[in-house]
Amino acid sequence: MKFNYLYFGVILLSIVCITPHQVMGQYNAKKRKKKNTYNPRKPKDDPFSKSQWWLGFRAGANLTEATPDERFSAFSPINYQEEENEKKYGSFEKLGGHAGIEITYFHQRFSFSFQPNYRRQRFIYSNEFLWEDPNDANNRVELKYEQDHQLDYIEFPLFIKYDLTQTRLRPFLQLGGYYAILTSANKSVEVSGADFASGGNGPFENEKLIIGAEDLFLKSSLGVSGGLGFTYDVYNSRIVFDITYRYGLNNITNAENRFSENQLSGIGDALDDIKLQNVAASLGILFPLRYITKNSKSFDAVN
Amino acid sequence: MKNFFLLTLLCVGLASCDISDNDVDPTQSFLKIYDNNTFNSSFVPVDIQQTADGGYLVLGSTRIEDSDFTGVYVMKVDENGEFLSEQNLSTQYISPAKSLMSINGSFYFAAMRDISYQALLFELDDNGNLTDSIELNVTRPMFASNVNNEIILQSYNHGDRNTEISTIALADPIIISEPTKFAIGDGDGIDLPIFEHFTRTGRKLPFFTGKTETGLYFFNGFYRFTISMVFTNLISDNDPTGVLQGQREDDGVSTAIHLTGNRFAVSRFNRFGDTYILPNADIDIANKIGIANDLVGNPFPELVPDARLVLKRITVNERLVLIYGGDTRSGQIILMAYSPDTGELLGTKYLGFSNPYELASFNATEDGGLVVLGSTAIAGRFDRFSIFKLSSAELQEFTN
Repeated sequence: MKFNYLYFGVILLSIVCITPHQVMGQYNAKKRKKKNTYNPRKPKDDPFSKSQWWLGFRAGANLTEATPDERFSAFSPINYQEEENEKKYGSFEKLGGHAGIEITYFHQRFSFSFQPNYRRQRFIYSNEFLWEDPNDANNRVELKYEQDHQLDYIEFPLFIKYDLTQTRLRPFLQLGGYYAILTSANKSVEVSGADFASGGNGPFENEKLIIGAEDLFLKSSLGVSGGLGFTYDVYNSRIVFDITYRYGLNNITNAENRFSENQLSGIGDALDDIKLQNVAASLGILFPLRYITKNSKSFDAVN
Repeated sequence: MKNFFLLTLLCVGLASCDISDNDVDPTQSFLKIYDNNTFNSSFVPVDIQQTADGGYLVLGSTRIEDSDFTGVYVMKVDENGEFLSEQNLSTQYISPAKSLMSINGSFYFAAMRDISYQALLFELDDNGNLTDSIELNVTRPMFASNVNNEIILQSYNHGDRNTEISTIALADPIIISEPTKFAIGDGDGIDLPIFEHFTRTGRKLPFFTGKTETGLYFFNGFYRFTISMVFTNLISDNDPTGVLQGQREDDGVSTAIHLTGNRFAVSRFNRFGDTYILPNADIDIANKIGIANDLVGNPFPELVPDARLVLKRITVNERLVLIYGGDTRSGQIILMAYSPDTGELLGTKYLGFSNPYELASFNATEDGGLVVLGSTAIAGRFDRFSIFKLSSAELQEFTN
């Protein structure tokens, strides 16, 4: 948790440091325009005129789905099929969030964008169990275990973007990959069901149990990503919105600790070998860096 | 900037080592719960042994609707702990006695017939199929141990009110000794606890048998009205060489393993339900009036009252370690490792979370790990077998 605060601190500091420079930069640029200070050299003649560094921050929401490669369970049924209490995974159901910075190098419609961020991803699954008496319909217990996983990562994604137009509103496509480090993980289980044997008619719900689950997952996560979005230039800044799909390439479950470090294995839980898919929507604001350098007095920052 | 990217790539490379190291042999470590979705079914584990194919045989018992006793039940699981087959012998045979013994590639256990309580020795193959059953000349088997391929059986003769010790040598032909008798004494004070032990409705009584390196037999059972640890040459009836007396069924020795000479690893219990552990105790095996309560040991209030411990000598990384196993008040299984030389506690390990777990037995495995058989109450009510498999690394971690 300390690490998370530290990370947020760094992001905040970056924003605090960057923003006054951007504001001052824009102010100075306006002043320069007013004074008609004009550099006769045309931007297209300048090999750097079609290049730019951008720095800013971004945040958004994301949805995650876990896909099992190989299934595991602490239950080994004797007189029924294993599939009956197999995990059912929720599909992009639980909302997570992310926030971070973006450093982008733009050159002739192409951008190389590094977007380190802190992100929380959530996925769920449930198992159902039934015990019944063939001779007495009242002897029947139904249980449902719903398990919610909350994974916090620091992610280092790298994208290549291509601007489809060169207008003020620029749609773009992006492709890339990411590496993420797990900083914390929690797992909660909620047990509900119906206990007809004890005289109950309706469903019951037990208190939610939350456990630390950091040891159940690998520290590292790798994947590829792709998405689309658009940018919109406002003065000398650029608003960016994108929707990105991430596809995890590795099993994020720590196979060694699947049973031994799982406090919920006692109720039959064991993590499958899973890969994550994630859809994220992000909104950000970027500021050009180049016009505040010595050699860019006349440079139009956003073109 | 170039350096920054190189540094990032280096960090990614180093940090992602855990991805490539994430292949684990599933046979090394697992937890399995063997569920039956029939509401009224109930299973009580007794013992476990590894088979030649890497799988496991589980001896247990299951509830019989029209009997006070539980019936014999055998289950076979594979090397990953997955259920393979079951043999339910409960219509004919009841109350399987500890232990399941592995001798010359076959597996043996003692149980009894319903109604007559005639004891039988059963032989199983690797798959848990019943291959032979041998009628024994005793009734109500309570405990059987295997010492160098000799089975030492403790049984109860209700008619004569004797504890009886027999030996069975699995030669060709099988040699079954005449039982040596130890009189419990007149009166019906111990009838109820013994009945409840067999029907598994009361306290589990700490019966056991064994043999020292000098050939002296010992057993823990009823002798002269009390649970006593009795040393005997099995030459004549009622003639022990030494006795460590308890008090009725309320206190006495609960587990023991012979170390060397007069040294034993022992645990004892008292009438308050406390358990004491003595990993290196001196017992005078020639004293005919020894008192179990005189053995001073470390109390373990963490254990359930009247804890029935399992004690075994396990080789861990070419080193002998004593492992005591029991049940904690918090519903977990506890394993405590001791040095047999110094009696020092080497480490403890807890197994089971969320649902309550109880220990039945444990044994070393071929891969240097440990397999632990227990029971759990799924949803707090359905008693089912559970198996914990600890890898050799996990075993070493708590025994070092």
